[in-house]
Amino acid sequence: MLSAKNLTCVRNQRVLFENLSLELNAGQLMYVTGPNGAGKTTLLRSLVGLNQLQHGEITFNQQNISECGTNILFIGHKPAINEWLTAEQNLLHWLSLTQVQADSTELLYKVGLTGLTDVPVRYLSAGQKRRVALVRMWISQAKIWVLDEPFTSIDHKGVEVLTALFKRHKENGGYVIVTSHQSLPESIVDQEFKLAYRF
Amino acid sequence: MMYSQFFKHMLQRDFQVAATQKHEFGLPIIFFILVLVLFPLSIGPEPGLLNRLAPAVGWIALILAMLIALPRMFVEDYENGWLEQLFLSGYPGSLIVSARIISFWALYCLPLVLTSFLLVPFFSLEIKLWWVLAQTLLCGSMLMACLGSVASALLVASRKGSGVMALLVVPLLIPALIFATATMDAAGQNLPITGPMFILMALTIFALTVAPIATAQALKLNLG
Repeated sequence: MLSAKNLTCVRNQRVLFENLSLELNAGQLMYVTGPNGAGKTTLLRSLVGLNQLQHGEITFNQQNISECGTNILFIGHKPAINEWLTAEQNLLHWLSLTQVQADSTELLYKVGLTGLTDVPVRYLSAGQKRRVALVRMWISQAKIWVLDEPFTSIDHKGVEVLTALFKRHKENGGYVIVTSHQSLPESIVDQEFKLAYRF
Repeated sequence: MMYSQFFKHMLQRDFQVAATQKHEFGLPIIFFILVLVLFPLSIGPEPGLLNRLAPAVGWIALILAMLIALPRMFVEDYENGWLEQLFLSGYPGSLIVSARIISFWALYCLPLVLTSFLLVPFFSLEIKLWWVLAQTLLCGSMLMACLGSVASALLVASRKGSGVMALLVVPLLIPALIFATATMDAAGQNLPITGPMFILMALTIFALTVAPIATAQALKLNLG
């Protein structure tokens, strides 16, 4: 179980959220919504342990979140892709960082990047770059997926594929936390978490 | 993955990225060569004066050339998000930083130290003295890479690094410069150089031990 207790975060002298608590069970998807500036990204970064919180603690199966490195897949606004390297080189670095064995050519074929594997990523379109980052979801062995706006620049078909992936991950007992300004199909959302803009 | 394997992979990635951006990586070397060329041209052909100045020019040119490269140590990986993934991967931050310091040193400093051989023809420096100078530069550049990594990590989010970088790093380098000069003086008078040289090495080893911890902490603060 992933649980967060009494989280408080202050940014630029503004309280983004205060005494916020949440719980997520295995096989559930949490959909975080809220207007721009409400603190969705900050909340997600706090949940994976990247942000320093003013107050509160986050645990996964009674273990502090900062000790769960390999159990977290975080895909944020920054794609963690070096634009000078090719899609395949980027993917290979990811594979060796996460110690996953997989066939890189086949994976890139799955996300529709066949024939572009040896092109430096800076020559690809925004959507294609995003796909290079999202490949990680196919091979991830992490239990907790924390995804910040995964659908940005992704076409309709891509969104369907991603939703199917969420479903599969849930069925395997995974945890998904996702923010998006596009609406998710209600059938896969287990919890909706609304953040309000605070002045 | 074993830490050693992770370390090796980090170095490989840095070398691969550097190979795709040769222009960035050549800039400090070209700057270094330009300084070495301009000095004898402006001072004139006086072998006595030139070879007395050679060690000082070598050191100052190295410091200035490295100030060009240092701000780039973490910026790219900070901006593209690779750094946050590394910190999330569960490996110790100081290991991540040590790998970066070593690869930075091998990619930027080592070529500069080798290029300092130009002091031999341009400043009529004796090869024996150049060899001593090269040893002080090897230690000094490693020390500067360590100090620079802390400064670079502190300034990673600010984008306007180079000016502040000089203010942060150069004052801390003064002890190293003093012992390097002492080493060169001793070598010039055929005296044993081990004393000042060992102190320079000790400073470098101290920086190499402490800097990764400080740098990792500074990076974490900037990510959060």
